[in-house]
Amino acid sequence: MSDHDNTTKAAHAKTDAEFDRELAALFAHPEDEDVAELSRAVLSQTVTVNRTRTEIHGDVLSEPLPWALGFGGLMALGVALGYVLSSTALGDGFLAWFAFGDLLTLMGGF
Amino acid sequence: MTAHQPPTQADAKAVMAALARGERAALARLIAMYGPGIRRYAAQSLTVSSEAEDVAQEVFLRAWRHAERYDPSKGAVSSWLYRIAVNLCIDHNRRGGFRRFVGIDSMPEPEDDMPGAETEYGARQRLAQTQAVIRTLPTRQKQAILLKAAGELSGAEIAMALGTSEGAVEQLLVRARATLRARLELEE
Repeated sequence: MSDHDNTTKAAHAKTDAEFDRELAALFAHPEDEDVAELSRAVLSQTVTVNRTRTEIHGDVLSEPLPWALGFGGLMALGVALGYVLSSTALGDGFLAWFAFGDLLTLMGGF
Repeated sequence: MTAHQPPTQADAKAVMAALARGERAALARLIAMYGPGIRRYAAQSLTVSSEAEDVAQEVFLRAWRHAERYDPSKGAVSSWLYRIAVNLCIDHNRRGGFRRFVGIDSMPEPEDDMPGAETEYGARQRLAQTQAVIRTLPTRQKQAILLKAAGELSGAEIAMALGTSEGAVEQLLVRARATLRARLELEE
């Protein structure tokens, strides 16, 4: 490589470095260096705190599916119990317990 | 260029080792070392720059949760952190675009990046023009030039953060600078 090529390359590199510096200066704000708030926010999220009732309500809103399934399961159990009790009152006990057993099988694992 | 000195590799690796041991003080040190740059990168990379603080928080929370995954033999701490930041910014922009498309979020408002009466109008205008041109760059060129200018990373660090070679990064930077120079000169 000739001296001229080296000089040209060095001048170009310098120009690139200057360009990058100007760009960095354009993006830099004096307030960027203050990380106190960022630090506080991150550190507070790393601490495990006791969950309040409000936070649990927040879960219901953000993850409705598991809660809806639980609620649905309880409703089904209520319906089944109601059916068993009403059928027993009518003297149809055997069929009622049979249906109840089927229902529990379907809901297995709930 | 900002006045602060970039953290040394030895310091950064020691901080990461402490972080992997669960020392919260190390997290504060890591934020002091890389927080300003990561926030700056996110502010320029995100469609809605006001989300930069959230992204910066998420970067450091992930670093805290997964500190043991950092392998010093595979690259600098800065590359590891900026890789997380690059991916988070992509996710945020993608999700934000969808949310705006379906109307959950409104379009981003023009933001005042340099508040304060002392800020010169010319500097604001130059920043706005530069940001507008950077937004039109291909994604990889945009990421490379922002990691260089906002994150102040070296070519090797950018290569690690983007998962490519140093030569490829140099090419991306050359093309990005050429486009920026040409368009900004046209507008002046």
